[in-house]
Amino acid sequence: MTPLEFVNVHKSFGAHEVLRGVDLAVAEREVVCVLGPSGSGKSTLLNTANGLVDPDQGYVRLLGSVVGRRYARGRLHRIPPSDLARQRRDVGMVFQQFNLFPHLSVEDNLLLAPRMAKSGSATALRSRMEALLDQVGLPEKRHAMPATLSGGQQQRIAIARALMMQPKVMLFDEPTSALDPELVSEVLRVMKQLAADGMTMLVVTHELGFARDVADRVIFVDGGVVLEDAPPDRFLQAPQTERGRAFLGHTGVSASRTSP
Amino acid sequence: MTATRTAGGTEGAEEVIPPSVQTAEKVRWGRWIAAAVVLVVLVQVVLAAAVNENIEWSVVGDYLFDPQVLHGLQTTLLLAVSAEVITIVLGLLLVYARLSSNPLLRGFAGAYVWFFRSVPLIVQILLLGNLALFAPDVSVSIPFTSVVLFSQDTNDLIPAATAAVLALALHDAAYNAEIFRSGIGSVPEGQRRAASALGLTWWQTQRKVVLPQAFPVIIPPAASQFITLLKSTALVSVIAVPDLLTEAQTISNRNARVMELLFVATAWFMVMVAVASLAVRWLERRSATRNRRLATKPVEVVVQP
Repeated sequence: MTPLEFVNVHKSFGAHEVLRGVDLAVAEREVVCVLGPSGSGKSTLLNTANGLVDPDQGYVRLLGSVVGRRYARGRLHRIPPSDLARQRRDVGMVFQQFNLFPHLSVEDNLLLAPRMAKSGSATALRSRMEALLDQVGLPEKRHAMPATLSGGQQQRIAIARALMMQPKVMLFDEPTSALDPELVSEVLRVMKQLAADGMTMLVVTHELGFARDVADRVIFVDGGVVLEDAPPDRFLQAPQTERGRAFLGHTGVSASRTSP
Repeated sequence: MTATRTAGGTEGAEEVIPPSVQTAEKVRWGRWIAAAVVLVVLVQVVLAAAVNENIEWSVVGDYLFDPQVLHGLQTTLLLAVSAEVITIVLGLLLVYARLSSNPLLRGFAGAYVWFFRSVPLIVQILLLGNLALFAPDVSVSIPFTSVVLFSQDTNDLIPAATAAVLALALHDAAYNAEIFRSGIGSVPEGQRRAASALGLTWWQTQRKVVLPQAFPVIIPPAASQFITLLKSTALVSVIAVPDLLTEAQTISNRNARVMELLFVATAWFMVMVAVASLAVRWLERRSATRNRRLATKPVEVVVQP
């Protein structure tokens, strides 16, 4: 079963058509990086994968079922919000601005969602939390408040928080764009490890080095459509479209930037 | 630097200033004058009250703990607290109606806030207290039929005290709705998105993410609104609810000690507001230190069934 599949996804905000028919399938254990200039619809595309944005046309299939919809009698019908909430537990999301809950400690940030979803006993949740804090390298920050952490640490905690629900798919929305340059690598390291462990990942990023080293495929999006879909080396070294070449030229690139 | 006289220098002579020199305190005449004026006025006022032969201070003392006054005090507190409870619930309902995507609910909440903020509270109290003049009895019937399920005399159903609580609560809810709205609006959209993405339902998101963050923003204005409500209870004397002021006036109607009993009521209002202010300060400090406490709180995993 394809974990994540976008079928003919359209989305407009007012008169502005952000997505104009996107088709994309992410296979199990695959890491797909979405590249593209700002305003190209990358983030909107990612947001349709867990129903934060509703497609105007087309649909997204997550682990076999349509996100936020149910297919019956030849049409899609909205599912109740509680069912959508349940669907979302299978897909973790990491935001550009981290969005940790500032009034809760690191521990409570991690435990809030699984507690609400009653996913596992207290002891099971606690050991899951400890394992994840180790995995992101911040076991000593368990009782810290988010405001006392650096941006890189906050983002690593945000990744651990998303993993607490044991998702089958992880979405990353420019996870390093809000970080100071010296903090980028610690976050990318965690993401690389996650990819090596076999997580299915869809990553919107500007980190071409990460795309080259970690991605199985690179999707180049511009103007709300997928313009290129290729292995990273091929796209980064020989983009097939004019706009792909222009994008790589602007980014200053050649993907020379290596991530640790 | 040593002081040297430079003959013919345009700057003139440089004085000898010891290194240990200090700046002299300036005499602030303005302060002393202002303080003196205030002091004189205060002494005048206190003297005028204390030695005024039209006021007998012992009477104030006599009635301060009079059973009737204490009963009025109890009524006032009961009015304020029950009105506050209703107003919090109503205010929350209104703010969520106002933020909803349903245009009818939004419109209703907007109209509610507009109406109850534009009509003076005393008018609202009089309107509700005299509801029987407008609708002699209240009945519940099935719409568009003549089947009456329930019917009762308005004055029996809504006694003056209930009308007073309702008037205070309905009026205050309009203000509280606006206070809650600004509090809830102060929580960034990213918080809601993160909660949704984690699979929290709308209600869980409000309870665990939005409201706890809105709370510290809401407390100071909501508290000062409560203090206003506390003082506004005195207005219910116009529909003969036996509150503190009404009881004080009932006594003064008997013994003609008008000023003395007004002083009694004043003293109790000052005590109530002082206590309420202290409680507010405590709440504010508590929510300010909450983050620090949470940071050091021992692990406490809630056992889920």
